[in-house]
Amino acid sequence: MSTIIKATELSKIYSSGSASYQALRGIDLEIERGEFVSIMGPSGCGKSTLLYLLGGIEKATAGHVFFESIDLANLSEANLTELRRRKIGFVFQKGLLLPMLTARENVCVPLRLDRVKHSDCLRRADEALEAVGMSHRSHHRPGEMSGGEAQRVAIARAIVTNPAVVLADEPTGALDSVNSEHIIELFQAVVKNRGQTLVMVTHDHDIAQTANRMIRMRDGAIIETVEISPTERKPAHVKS
Amino acid sequence: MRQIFVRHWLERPGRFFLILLGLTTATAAIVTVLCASFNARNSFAQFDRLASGLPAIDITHNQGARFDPNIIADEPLPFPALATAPMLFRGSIARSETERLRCLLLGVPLADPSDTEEISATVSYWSQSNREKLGAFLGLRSSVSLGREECILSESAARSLNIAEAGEVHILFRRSIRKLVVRHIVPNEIWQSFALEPSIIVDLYTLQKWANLKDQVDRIRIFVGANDEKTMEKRREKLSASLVDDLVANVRTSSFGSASNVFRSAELGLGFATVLAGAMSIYILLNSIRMNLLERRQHFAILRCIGATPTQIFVAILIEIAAIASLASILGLALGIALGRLLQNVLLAMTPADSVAYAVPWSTLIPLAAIVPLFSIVITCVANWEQRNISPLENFQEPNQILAEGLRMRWIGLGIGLWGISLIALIAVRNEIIPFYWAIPAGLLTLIAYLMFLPIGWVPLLFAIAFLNKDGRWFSIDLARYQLTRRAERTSLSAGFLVIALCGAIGLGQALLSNISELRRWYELAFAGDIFLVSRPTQVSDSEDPIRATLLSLDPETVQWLDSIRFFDMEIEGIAVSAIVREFPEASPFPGVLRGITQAEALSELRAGKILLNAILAKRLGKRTRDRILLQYMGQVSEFEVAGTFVDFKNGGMSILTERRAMQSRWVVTGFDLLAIRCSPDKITDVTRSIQSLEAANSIQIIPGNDLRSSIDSSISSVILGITLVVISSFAIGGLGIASTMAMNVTEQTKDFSLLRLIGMSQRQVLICVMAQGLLLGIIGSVFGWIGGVTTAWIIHACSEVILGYTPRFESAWHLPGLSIAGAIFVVIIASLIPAFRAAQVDPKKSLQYEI
Repeated sequence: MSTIIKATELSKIYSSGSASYQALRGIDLEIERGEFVSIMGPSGCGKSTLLYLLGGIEKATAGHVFFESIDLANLSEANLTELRRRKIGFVFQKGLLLPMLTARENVCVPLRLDRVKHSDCLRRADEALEAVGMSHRSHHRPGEMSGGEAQRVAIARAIVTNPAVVLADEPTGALDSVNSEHIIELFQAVVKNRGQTLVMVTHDHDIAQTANRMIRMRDGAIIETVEISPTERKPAHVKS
Repeated sequence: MRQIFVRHWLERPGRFFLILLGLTTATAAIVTVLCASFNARNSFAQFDRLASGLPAIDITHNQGARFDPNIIADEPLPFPALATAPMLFRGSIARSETERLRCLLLGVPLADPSDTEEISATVSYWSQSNREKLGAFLGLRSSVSLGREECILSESAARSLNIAEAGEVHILFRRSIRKLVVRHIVPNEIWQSFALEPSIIVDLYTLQKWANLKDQVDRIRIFVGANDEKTMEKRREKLSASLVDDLVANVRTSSFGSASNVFRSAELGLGFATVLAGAMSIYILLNSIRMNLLERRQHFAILRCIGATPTQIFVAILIEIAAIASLASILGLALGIALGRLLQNVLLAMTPADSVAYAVPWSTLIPLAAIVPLFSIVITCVANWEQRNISPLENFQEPNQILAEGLRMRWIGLGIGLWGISLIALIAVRNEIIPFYWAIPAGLLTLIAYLMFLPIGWVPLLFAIAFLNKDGRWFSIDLARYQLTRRAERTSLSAGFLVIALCGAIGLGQALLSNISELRRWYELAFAGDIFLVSRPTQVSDSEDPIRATLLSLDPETVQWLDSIRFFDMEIEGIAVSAIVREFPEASPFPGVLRGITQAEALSELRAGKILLNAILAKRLGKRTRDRILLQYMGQVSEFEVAGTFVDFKNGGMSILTERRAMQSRWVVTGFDLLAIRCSPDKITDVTRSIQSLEAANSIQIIPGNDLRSSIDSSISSVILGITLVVISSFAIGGLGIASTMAMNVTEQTKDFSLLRLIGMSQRQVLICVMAQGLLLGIIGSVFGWIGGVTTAWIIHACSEVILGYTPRFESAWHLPGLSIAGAIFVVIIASLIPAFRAAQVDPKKSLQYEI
């Protein structure tokens, strides 16, 4: 498998006036294409910051992030935006759907931003919603859905552009255990089956162990990388 | 708590200044108008007071002609007088080294008569004591006469010519240039006892000689000591009784009714503009405070979670707004006082009054300074009231997850009801069931009602636009539509400002164009002629008039017709009217637009001794054709039958039209105030030349017809310019409303835009999204503004008959709606730019801040 994301000596320092805080310290990381990686650690360890750097949302203070061999630091804001639109899918803790759009319209958004023909937008959105099991709610608004349903729609939005990478930040953080299981199952079924790379941040050990590889972080640094063999890998519905 | 709030503002200087700006603008607008009106009113009152000047009684000829002042020279006056001033007026052009001024030459007996044999020093008004008295009134040192080559300037004339005492002024008079030395400059308040216009006083005899008007004056002003009305009236009666039949005595009064009306109209217009600016400032302020509270809801939620009560938070907000408002109050006061000075000069430019020393009406402004913070507190209460039911936990949601506003059907229903009432009122005005002045409140009610039920128009319009975009080509249009629809009240309000601007532009503009067209039609008929002669009426009969004789001796193809026009001041039922007496030569167009009567019938009736009433006057008197009216002139009352009505704009519509020969049996109608001459186009120069020889001897002024009409045109242009400025101001105010709405929308959509940026929307696409919102607002405002404007124009047109007594021809100005709508769209685009740029700069990570 080829490397899709590579981080070298990655650091991030947040400054406010005279105070500064180092969120990441010299992270080195490689993620293979098609891999399912979980990043785990306690609150404040820098896992979300690492995810945002990998996705081009944040700019690193030091070090480099290479996405498909392209150094993100050399990209302009417009190019970064295009990268996020076409190559990266994001799933957040609370879904972050646009409340005034229906599920179908929310899923269409990345495609419409890319000026895809409307009929194609609708077809692909329907396919994505079908894949996440939300076809029956395609005309409902986020306010009319449960948290789990909204998260499914968010996943559909993330995958509708067939991105190379899906970055998920605590996708089950706001869900109950049953919904969490379903979401992880969905990730495994939909994302993995499409051959897409999935990087998921979580603080839940059981959730983290559903991945191919688990990266543990503490205090802004990677303390451990654990390859999880298929036999060790916990199915989504198994909890410690 | 104080630290939290203070730090908030320190970190948001832009928002702080926005609220400060809104409050300062509102305060400054009100203070400016208050200060300007206060000072302008003071100036005008002083001018009005001083215009009365020294109490005086004027002797004039009952026909307005010149007369020999020696009529009273040797007769003792029936009461003690301070001084007697025979006056002769002539127009001239004065020049200094740098400036030029068209002014009045005023001849008053001020020179020493001993150096000429032609003046008898025994004549009372040439006596030394009388001259010294007159000189003293003007500020001359006693026992010093005005030399033949000296003059006295009014303060206004001196200022216009930029000249001081001992300076030289050149007078162009009758194609001769005469050099005079300025002996003295008289302050305006003293000058007004003699004349109102910028003038140059020369010695009476000197002017008589220049003008070849030996022993001729226009009036004799007798300065008396008393100033109570009763005494003055008694003296006037005594004097009148002692005068020959041709002369009349009148108490000198100031006659600035029309200037007063202009001043009051300007004040009204300013008041309206202030109300509009004030309403806009309130809207901007409300939006700013709402934005401020919206952005801080999470902070307030945190405070609530850790134990702060709603009252504690509310009080803290009130204190900070009151503090900002107090600061704005001070700034607004200072700015308003400074701007008031500028505006005062604009107000006074419309009247002959000069400005007095600028005073600040502190007794009004100090309470106003206190009201502004209180008012801000009220607005804050309103803004805070909208969020009163939100629990602390809900505040952790993104603002836009709170339910969108629905359409307020009660308001819409109320709007429809009010519209119905206003329509009934307008129909009642149109059919004269209720007085015409109800048209204004009814019209305003129609506008307010229209704004209230606007949503039932623009919501389907947006859906229609969505339908046109059903292929989804324009994502930005869809997003814009969502935002406008979910904030229906705000959309209606901001579009409403544009609607008001367009109603004004199209409605008033259309009415103005129709009336101007009517005005142009009037003066092209009333002032049809190639050459006009202006004169003082003479006692000479038509057959003996040398001017007529000269003109009639010319080839009939050269001079096609003459029309002698006289104006008489009369009264009908206590209303001062101008009686226009004309000859109505056969080949000339009828000098007015007739209503309800043909031209042939009108001429026949006029020649039979009947009169035509101005349509506006007829409306005011409630008179129709065949009615009889009583005309009061020179103390006599005459009855006339009304033959019909006509449209004429002289004297504000207070005029009647009569025929010369018919009136000669009733009044002494000789000479002319204005003689209109129609020539062959190629003979105008020849005719002018033939009259020039008579100019000096007969004291006439020759004015080319085009010059006369173009001077009226330039007055009309000033009116058009004034109304255009008002319309532009309305658009600017509408633009401010749009900008405020867009800023509010962008603030609400911060999270949406940051999320969209996160998932791949470019900054350019965000910018286009926000501009699309502005554009949709502009389309809503334009479409419904156009409908409202056309309706306004129709209402004004329909009610014209009732108000003016005639209906102007409806001049379809096709370019007006187009220009207005283009203006609206332009304003909207400009107003949307800054919010659009702000939205494009939103950090994609901002949406992540809403994650718990």
